[in-house]
Amino acid sequence: MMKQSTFHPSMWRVLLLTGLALVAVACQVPPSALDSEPLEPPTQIVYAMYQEPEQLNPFLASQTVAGEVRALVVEGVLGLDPDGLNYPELATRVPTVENGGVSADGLTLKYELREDVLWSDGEPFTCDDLLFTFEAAVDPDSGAVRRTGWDQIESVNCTDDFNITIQFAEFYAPFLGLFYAILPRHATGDPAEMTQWPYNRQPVGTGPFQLVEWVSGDHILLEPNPNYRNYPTQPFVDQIVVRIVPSREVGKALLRSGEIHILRDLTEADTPEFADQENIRLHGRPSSRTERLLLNLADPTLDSTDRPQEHPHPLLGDVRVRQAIELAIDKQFIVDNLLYGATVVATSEIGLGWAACDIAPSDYDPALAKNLLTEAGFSDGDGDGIRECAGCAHAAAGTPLRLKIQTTSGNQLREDTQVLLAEMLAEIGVELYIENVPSSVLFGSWSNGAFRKHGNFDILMYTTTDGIDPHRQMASYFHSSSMPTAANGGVGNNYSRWINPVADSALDVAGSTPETELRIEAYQEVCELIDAELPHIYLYERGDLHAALTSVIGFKVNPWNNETWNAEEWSLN
Amino acid sequence: MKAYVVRRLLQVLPLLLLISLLTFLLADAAPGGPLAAYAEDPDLAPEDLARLEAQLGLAEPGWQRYGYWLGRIMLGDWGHSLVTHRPVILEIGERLPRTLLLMGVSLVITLAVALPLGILTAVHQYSLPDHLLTLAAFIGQAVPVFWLGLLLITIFSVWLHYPVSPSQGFAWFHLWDCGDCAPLLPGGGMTPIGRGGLLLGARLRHLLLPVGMLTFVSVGTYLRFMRGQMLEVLNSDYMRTARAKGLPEHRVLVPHAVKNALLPVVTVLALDLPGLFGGALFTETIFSWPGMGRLFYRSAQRVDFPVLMGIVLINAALIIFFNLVADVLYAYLDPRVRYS
Amino acid sequence: MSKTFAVIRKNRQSWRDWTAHGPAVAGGTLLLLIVVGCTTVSWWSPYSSEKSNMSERYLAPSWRHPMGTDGLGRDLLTRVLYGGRISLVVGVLATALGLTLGTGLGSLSGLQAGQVDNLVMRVADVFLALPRIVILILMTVYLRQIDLPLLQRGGGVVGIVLILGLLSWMGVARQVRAQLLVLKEWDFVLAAQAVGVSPTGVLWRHLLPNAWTPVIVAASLRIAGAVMAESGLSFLGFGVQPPTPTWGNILTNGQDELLKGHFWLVIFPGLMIFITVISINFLGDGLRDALDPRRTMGRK
Repeated sequence: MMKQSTFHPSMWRVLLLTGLALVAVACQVPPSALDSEPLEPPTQIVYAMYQEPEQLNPFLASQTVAGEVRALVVEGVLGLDPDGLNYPELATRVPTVENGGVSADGLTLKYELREDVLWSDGEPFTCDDLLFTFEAAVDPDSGAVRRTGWDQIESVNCTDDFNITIQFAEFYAPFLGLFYAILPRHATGDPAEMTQWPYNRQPVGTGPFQLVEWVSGDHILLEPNPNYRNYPTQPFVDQIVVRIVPSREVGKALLRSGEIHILRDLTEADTPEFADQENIRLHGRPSSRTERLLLNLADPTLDSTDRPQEHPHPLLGDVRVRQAIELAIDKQFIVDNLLYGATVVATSEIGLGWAACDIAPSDYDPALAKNLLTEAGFSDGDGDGIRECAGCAHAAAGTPLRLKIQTTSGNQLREDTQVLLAEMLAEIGVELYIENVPSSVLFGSWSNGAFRKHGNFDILMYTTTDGIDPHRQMASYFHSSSMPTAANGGVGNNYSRWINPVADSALDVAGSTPETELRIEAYQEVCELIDAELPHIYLYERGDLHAALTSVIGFKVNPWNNETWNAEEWSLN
Repeated sequence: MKAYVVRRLLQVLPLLLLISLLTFLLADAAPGGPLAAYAEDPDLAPEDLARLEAQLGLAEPGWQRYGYWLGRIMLGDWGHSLVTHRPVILEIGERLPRTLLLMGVSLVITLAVALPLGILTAVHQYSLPDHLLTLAAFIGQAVPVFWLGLLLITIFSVWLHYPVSPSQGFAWFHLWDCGDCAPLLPGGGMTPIGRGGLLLGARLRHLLLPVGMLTFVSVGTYLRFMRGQMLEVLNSDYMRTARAKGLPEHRVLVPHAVKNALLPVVTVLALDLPGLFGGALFTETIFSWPGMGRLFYRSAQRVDFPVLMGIVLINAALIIFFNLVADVLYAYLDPRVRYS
Repeated sequence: MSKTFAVIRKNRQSWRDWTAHGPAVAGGTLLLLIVVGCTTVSWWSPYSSEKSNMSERYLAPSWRHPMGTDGLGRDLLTRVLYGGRISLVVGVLATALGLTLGTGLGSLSGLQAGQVDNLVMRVADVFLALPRIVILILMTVYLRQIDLPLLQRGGGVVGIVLILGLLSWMGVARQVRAQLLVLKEWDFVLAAQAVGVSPTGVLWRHLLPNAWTPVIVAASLRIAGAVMAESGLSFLGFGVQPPTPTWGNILTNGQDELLKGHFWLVIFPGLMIFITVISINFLGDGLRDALDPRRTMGRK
């Protein structure tokens, strides 16, 4: 009845026409035929990032990427160079005790401001803008995210338009970093309505660029600020385009196609991929980020106990088990293989900067690790390869040495590291099993019941960063008062629930004196205690790693600052 | 019929209310929360977090926050994003046109390709082109989207080029090897940035890859559906009768069959239309197309209540509405279907 | 009709049969091969699917490693076949659950017009409208806390199947309902009812076989969706965790490798999913033709 295997000619025709039409559409759009391109296209550097800034107000933003864009427009009193040293931006010099800018007790700070600075809208920059920045930061209704340090300021006085005196009530160690972004009084608004300021998406600054266009989710276009003090000598390029590329893989492809010039934030595992690319250069520098294992010393079945010493972790509560775990990890092997030797083994919380701790790398010694475990009362009685408690300190007899390791899901480098860790620990009879969660779950808040905050975990693996001044990081991760508990509303990052009175007092000293030598000594002491008791096991240092086309000149990685810190010096070859 | 439509319309509001309540409860129970982004910041003192919580209105109990949101939405106030502090209506309004452009163009091309081919493959069932097109349709449906996307970018943006200066002239070998070259097709974004002007041609070029991919992966569904419906009709009794009476196949029967086979396709299409609003997360991510899919994903990740609720509510309204349209259409087009 | 002509006719007939059935047969064979490979891999593969071997990282396909090795030096063929065990089970069971729920609710809705119909369809609307990502994140968080042995069985596979199944019935329900609304007015159904066939009998013998056509076509696609969705769940922390391989997580991890030149890490797992889906599609196609009571294949 129906013709089935014969094929009507009309069908071929339709097929052919459809195909031809598609090809025609594709080819009929010659790249630039429909557009009248300007004769001299602007020199443009496209800077790509995976995340979009939420907004650019320095006091509302929490993201690194917001800082990257903001730093193109907004300047601070001082800046930090790649070596971690302060250099004057809006000030004429860096205040020190020697030049009289800082009082001997560290409570009084004086800045002398540049007199040749205009805001991008042409208004003059004066001391009053610093005063306003202070007012906005401490306004209780402003919605400012961080006020740490600002609330230690007793008074701010403008002696004249270009001299300011800041009086602190208590010594605040990172006091030079406070005025890192200055708000203009005339171009913002009432501090109480800070979240609604138009400024947040259209900042007015004193920096080399001004924001021209912001297309949500797509790009932010910046052009030179004609009122910049070095204009027209600097900046060198006509436009900087900040492009949002939502995935790292796509970013890498676009870098190869030349559609973007700089791709920020790569990992050491990305290095071999660009090794043979002539037109792409990797820019890296060691950073203060350290990948570590965070061990729970308290009973993980309890909700945020404030007495971890009375309720120790059944397995990790014994320091010998923690030592055995560290001894069983061949950190150098992980660095050499998974990170292609592009970084170094980490040894302490402070790996970089003026306060860097001097700690020797841990040994890789599985034999010693086994001895320690046996000594701690763990042996493999049933012959399944995993040790069980037989006379151990905190667990019931027969409890297997089985630990859960958790990190952020979807990160292949971390997952591969986990697999290797599990194999290394299996060698000494410790079973490690993986249960990864999205970062929003891992880093969830106390009120949301996040297991990290509430102490329901064995081992976590992630990276944290300390700033140029390590104090907040050190105090929040290692001071006993920083254990998140119901009593303090879940505040602090001492998730290991590590209590050490000596470390506490050393941290107290470090946080209360302006004398650098004393502080360095105190941090060294804390680092040594950490190394001995192992609330954290440091795996490897994470570098700041970015890739740029070789045609980009002047891009300089700065681990202490935004990568756009010297964008006025960027140019295209 | 009229009574039926009225009854269904009356259900819309309670249904939306229920959906908004459920969404709120789900989002409220989700781990993380809007403040999770600040969790790793050592600069944030406890009282800072508490202050922020209060300022964002997160400190109050859930029912109170829901009530507050409901009251505002009744007055037409969609609220502000907790992440960007911008009005929700602006966040959505900015992205909707982009998504509609991408999805709309893809849908039109998809239909233009799929429906004729579906008809032809049904008429010539089990012929070689039928098998080939069926295979192509299956490939489109089985291929992982992000993989295809990366492949397209690699081919058309990394490997293939065109000469930038017109003086260099155009030659085929320039496609993969030339001196001063630019990618043949842009691997992402919506338009060239910072050049001014309308740039119609350039915009079209930016559309090619994402639209091509969306079309390729969705053409199969419609093609197969159309083919199936067409076969159904062609094998139906009335067509047999018509054939038995000696009516010629291609001139008379096929047009009639097409008409009948299109009816279910139209209803399926109606059900797919709300998807235009939601966008396509993977395509948007791969081709850096800032549409609704990514906005929704961000708001779900960050538990940005107001934006999340806004999108869900509009989406729900569209789904309910188009489901009703489909049902009505169905009854209208097929007299055998009766709603009581 | 002469004898010779009859023979030619017969041969042509079988050719038609083959062109009609061929894809289905080929699909079935391929699928069988994959299933056999997955089930027997532990007997013949000299490699471990989980243990790393850092001296053999990123080896391109060769005789020793037909699909190459991954970033930890594990044989990809072994991993892909082990991964197929979980992925196929998840894909097939989750689809089956979604189909069962969808067909059940859709039939209920289509036959019991009125209040029941309205209720079921509105529930489907609500399910369709709720934000899926949020539901998934929530389910992954809370399902893990439920201490039901059933959910933990097979490394949480039962839980995954439940999640995926529960979130995928709406489309099927709508489809089945729409089909039934038309079919139940058809003469043969009315006739069956008139001669006293029980309602369930009518449903099973007369309605469902006719309504299933589009459902089966959709089902084969759903399996691919479920395989990929499983990798999404691993990402959310509820799916199968490393180092246990599944097609979904091998492929997801491989997306970064394509540009690094390790194409095999993407091609092969992608190909496996692809071949499986296509096979099931062709099988489904054949099955549909075979099941469809109104069509007799090839010869009319």
